[in-house]
Amino acid sequence: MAETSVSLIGSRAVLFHAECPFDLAHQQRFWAMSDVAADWDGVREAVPGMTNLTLLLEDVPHNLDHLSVLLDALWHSGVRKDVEGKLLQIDLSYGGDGGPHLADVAEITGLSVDKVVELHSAQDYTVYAVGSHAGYCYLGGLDPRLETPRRKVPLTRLPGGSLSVAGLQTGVSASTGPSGWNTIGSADVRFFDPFREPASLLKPGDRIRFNPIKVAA
Amino acid sequence: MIRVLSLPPLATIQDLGRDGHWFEGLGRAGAMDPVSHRIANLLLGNDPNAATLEIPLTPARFRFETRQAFAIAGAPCGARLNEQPLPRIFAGFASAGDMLDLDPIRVGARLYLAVPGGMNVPKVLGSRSTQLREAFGGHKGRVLAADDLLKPLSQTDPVLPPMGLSVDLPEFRLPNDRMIHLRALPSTEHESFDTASRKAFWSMPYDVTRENDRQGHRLDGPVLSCESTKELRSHGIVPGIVQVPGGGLPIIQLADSATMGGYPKIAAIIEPDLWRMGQARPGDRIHFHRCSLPEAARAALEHEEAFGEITQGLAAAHDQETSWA
Amino acid sequence: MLTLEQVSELADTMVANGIESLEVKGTNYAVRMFRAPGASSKVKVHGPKPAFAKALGPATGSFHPRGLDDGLPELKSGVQVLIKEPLGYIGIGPVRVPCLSPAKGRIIGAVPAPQETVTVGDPLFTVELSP
Repeated sequence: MAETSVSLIGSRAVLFHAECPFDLAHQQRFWAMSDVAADWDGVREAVPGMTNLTLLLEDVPHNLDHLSVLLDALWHSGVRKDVEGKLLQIDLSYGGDGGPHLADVAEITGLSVDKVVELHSAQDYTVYAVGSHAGYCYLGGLDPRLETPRRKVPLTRLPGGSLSVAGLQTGVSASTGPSGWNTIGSADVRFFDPFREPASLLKPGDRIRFNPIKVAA
Repeated sequence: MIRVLSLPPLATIQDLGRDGHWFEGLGRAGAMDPVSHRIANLLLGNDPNAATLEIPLTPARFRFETRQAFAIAGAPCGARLNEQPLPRIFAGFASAGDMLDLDPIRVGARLYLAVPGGMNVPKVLGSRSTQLREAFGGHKGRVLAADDLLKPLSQTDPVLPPMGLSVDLPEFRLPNDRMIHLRALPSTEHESFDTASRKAFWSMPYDVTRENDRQGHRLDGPVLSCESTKELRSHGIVPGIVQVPGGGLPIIQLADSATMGGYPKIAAIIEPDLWRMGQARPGDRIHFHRCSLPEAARAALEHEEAFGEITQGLAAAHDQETSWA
Repeated sequence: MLTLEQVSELADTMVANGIESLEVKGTNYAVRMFRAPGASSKVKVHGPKPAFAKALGPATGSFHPRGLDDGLPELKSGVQVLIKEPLGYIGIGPVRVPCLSPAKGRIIGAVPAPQETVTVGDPLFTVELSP
């Protein structure tokens, strides 16, 4: 199996993916790659995902050869962005109306609701990537005991401030919208404000600490 | 200035989208059918990026409070200026007190209303498009409602003959047979789908269902199986991506697409064909056509050339008009 | 085109009725008559009201029928139309200049053929006015 792959996600959008462990050290390599690629000719934006990188291009490329070579070389150079961003503390209500799938997660993981909350709020999370919707932060550092699959049929409407988990990822949504994740809690934070500079509250490298303020199954 | 008298709560102000904020999770939004949006603007001599009113549902009624030019383009809906029937693509003048009536749409899915200079709403983060989810941009970040006013940015009359103008380009016609042909590039997980699934995807028609909005369309048709079932890590997605969640039925992400997703991706519709999804309605069917990158690049060129033809045609018509009696 | 005999007759009629001069202007043949100074007009309008109106070509180009992807029904001789209703188009490249109905009524007679060359001012459609 190839270690890296470059594929199309649009006529002018390319996804670079590398087989690697899902941890901070590897995610930092994608932050570095994103910074470098953003400066390449013909690249409009470079955005890190969860151990992957998306490039939005100015024009339709005639083939992916040139970009593949550049991205592979960059990946193999091992360049890393070791940054410790700001720490944001968030009061989080677990379960209840804002966290309808808390019980599901407890069932899937075989843990009690209280244990799920304890494990989830135990450590600081690092913002690995910002995306999905405006201001939404994908957080790394989820305890592997809390790993759950995405829901087969996504929910069409999840309120802003919802804390969700899927796979080994967790995140807090910034506004109302659809989600395929298990939602376990809610917070009252304005992650994105178009009239603020910068508009997005957090960026890759920043950290979040959750303070449980209420737990309801 | 145009007053909204009645309008179902789905219409938003859009331009060609908000670039440069993908890194913050903010998608482009913008017109679902950028072809009709651009044509309406071109007819008025506007910049292609001038903001229009995207109308996805009718009937609707507007009143011109002052004399001004206007243009419509998109789905046919029995548009009438007072009693005068209008072609589905039209630019002309309206007098103070004139009524613009739009009947239910039966073919296609939305139309655009343009005014001289574009809709006068503030730019937010570089664009006048509405971000519905985040509730900003466009007209106060919301859909238009009765009593709202649509103001033009320009007070100058565009160059138009008294009888108005329309355009016709074969490549931008709406299909008679309700079959929408979309050229697409194989995407990241294309090879992970089994042979039968890939064959079905590229050859069998898919139905446009009622589950659709500016974020995307769910399709119905042959179920697709992905060989690998492991959870994909969240990655970038853009409008036009065809995702296949566990249920096996494709979803096409469109203008208000999320910026990241985690479902397997079988194909990416090329940008010049996305406007066709902006005119897709339940009951239409979709046929995906596999194409290559060079073909996608050529399609992008031809797409822009078509607009060049319209611009040249308008200049030629104007030259002729100035020599009329 | 008027014959010399007809012009002579017209001139005599004008003089007899106190009309000094007559002006025909524009592509829709608007007519103005000027009374001789001091003369009272003896011109009476005779005959029935004009029953027909012509829709004239608004531009020079090729004729394109309506009903082809414009959301309007095909136009055939005999159909009812409203005032200012687009009856067809003159094409200049991809641009379509609408030929609008001059009145409410019924399309009678021949309609132009697709791709037919049209010069601005050509009569394209005849509308029988509604009573």
